[in-house]
Amino acid sequence: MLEVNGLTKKYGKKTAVDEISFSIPDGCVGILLGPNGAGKSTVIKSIAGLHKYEGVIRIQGMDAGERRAKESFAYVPEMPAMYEALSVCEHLEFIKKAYAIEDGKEETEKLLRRFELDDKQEKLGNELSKGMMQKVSLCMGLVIRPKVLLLDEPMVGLDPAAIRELKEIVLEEKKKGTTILISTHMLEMVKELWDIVFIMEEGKIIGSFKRDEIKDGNVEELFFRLTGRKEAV
Amino acid sequence: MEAIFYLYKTEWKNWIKKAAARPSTYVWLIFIALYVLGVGGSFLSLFKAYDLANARGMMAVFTLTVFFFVPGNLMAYAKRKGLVFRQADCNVLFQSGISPKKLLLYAHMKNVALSSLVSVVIAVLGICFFHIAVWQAVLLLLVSLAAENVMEASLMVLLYGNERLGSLGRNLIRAAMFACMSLFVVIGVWIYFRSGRQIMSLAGYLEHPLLQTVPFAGWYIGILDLILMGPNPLNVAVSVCYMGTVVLCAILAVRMKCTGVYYEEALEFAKEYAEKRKRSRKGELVVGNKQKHYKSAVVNYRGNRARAILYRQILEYKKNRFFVFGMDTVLSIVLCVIFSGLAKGDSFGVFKIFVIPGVMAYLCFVFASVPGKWAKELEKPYTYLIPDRAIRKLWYMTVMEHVKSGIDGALMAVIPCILMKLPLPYILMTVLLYVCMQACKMYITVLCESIFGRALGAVGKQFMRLFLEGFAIGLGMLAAIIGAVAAPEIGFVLLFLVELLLAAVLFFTASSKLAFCPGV
Repeated sequence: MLEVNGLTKKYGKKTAVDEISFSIPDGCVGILLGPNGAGKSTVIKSIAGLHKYEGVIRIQGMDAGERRAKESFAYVPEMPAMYEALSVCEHLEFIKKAYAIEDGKEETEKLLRRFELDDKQEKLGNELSKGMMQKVSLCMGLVIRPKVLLLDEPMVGLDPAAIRELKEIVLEEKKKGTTILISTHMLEMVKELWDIVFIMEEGKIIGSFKRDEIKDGNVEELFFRLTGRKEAV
Repeated sequence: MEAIFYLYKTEWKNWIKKAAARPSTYVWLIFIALYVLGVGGSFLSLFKAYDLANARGMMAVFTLTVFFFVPGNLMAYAKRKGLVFRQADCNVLFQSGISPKKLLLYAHMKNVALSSLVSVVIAVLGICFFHIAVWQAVLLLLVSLAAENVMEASLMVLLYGNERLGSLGRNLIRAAMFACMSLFVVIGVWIYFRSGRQIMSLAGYLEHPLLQTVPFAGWYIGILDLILMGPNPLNVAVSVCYMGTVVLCAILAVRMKCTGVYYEEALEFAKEYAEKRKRSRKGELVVGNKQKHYKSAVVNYRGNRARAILYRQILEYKKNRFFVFGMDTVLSIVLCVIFSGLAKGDSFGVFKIFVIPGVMAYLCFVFASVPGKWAKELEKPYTYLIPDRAIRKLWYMTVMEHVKSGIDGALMAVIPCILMKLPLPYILMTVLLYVCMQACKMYITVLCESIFGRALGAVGKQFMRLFLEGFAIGLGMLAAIIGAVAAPEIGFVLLFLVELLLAAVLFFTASSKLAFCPGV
């Protein structure tokens, strides 16, 4: 369960996120949808504890800053952050140690296979393409078996096979009861995944809808109506 | 070509507008002006002391710079480097249908603008510092703006844009230029030591007629010699050679076929350059552009959570060619040799215990704006996501840096301190003092990132780090001066205690602020 209450984030005088509140229950996929600069990444980074913010964020009922809360969520950044001297498998080993995940060798190998990284385990961070980095970054998020999964523009840079795999993984995690929050500006990519969508513009949530509230699950039209935009997101 | 001029003009206009609106530009200008005045002033005194504040001295400076820059530039052009095409240039201009040769000239225009500015400064300096006549300065300026720029541009086109010159030819040119530069330096060093370390003998070497017979660089010196020192058969002959070569090179450059084979290498260099710029904007000291290669290594993680950061760093260091040792280590060894040389005499008397700490403090201050390898931890989200206390994270993030500082401090101080016959506690305290000063520098980086991370740009943060590091060192020095009034030993102990205390206070403050570093 992820709860956000009155989240406000300012950069100097500029308010990037203005008093937003929402919650996503266990086993649900929430989508933060909005144009570039709407504040989606700022919301995700604030939840991940990477930004100072005003307001309350709770993960599994705990304050997001608490150690036990940090243990239970994973964040996959938009721009993959790799250690250039570490190989793919060393990245995963480091993350498992940092989160005190004792075993899971098989699980790790399965993950690497799913993202077609099993033959690239010895590749170093500075030898990977952007797409590969993104895949490793996703594996690093998933290997800690999170209860809450934060994905910031996760499809950007992935090849079609990896996008399909990621969608399957999201659905599997959802079945396991994991709360998932995905920030994106490409609704097409997540249309079969979402349960609840939050439409953002200029740092505010201007509308939130559950899947069963919208006919045919077509949020695109709703987005254009709410934002007054004519062009595609 | 019109499009290129438009691009060039608009970029410069916007760049100047943007720079003029930033307060940091003015701070930099003041800083640069003070630096130039300081360095220029000390050079002027040096020239006056050796009776070189005249045309002869100016010739010596020209010879020295020409023999470094001309072969250096030719080496770069032969390597298809030295011209900065940005990624946007490669994506847009290379496909625009503009002739590849014109594109080379476009990239070269930035070098021309800079060298023209330098030429104007040199002409003014010539009149003010070296007391040359105004007509000589004007002639120098004309030669530099016209002949030198045409020559440089022609050679650049002939080397960079050449499509018949294979890699062997390019390597031979580079080797020849490198040999030319090395020979110039080796002969200079040999003469300096042979003459009993006399600066005047070096000036004599720079005036040697043989130097003027070297093609390109030497001939250019010849034409400058003709203007500054008056005609003689040699400088007239080489000046004619130079002017003839300028015309010949220009004709060859115009007639040479260039279809844009260089695009591929220019694109590669553009990528490297963009990466280098990105890193230097973050305050990193960037040497070389090549992708780093790592050895294979393993590490046994003995502990988890924040401790995993330490073991990951050890793994990274084990993959390095020289483990934790690098340029810092070389600098420490060089300083050790210098300190050991100084330790032989007793030139510092009772204050000798402050010599090494003083240099250590200077090093920390000078390199305060360079955050170092460890600061990359602040850019990775995992540092903040790891479920552990900030204090443990900061400790394990920086512990290897403390070990490195300890090694560098020991390399720098132990042998000279033994030679100075200082007791063991002083030696230990000197090494620990360096560790503390370096620790202060790291914790100040965290504080600057967390407090000013969003408010200030990279330059602003560098100044802030410099200021705070200066303040931390200043506090230590103040304590040392107060203590030294009673006895130098008391001053030394006070210096150590103040730096230790500061490191501890900064550590706790920085760990409380670690979560607010917006580096990701």
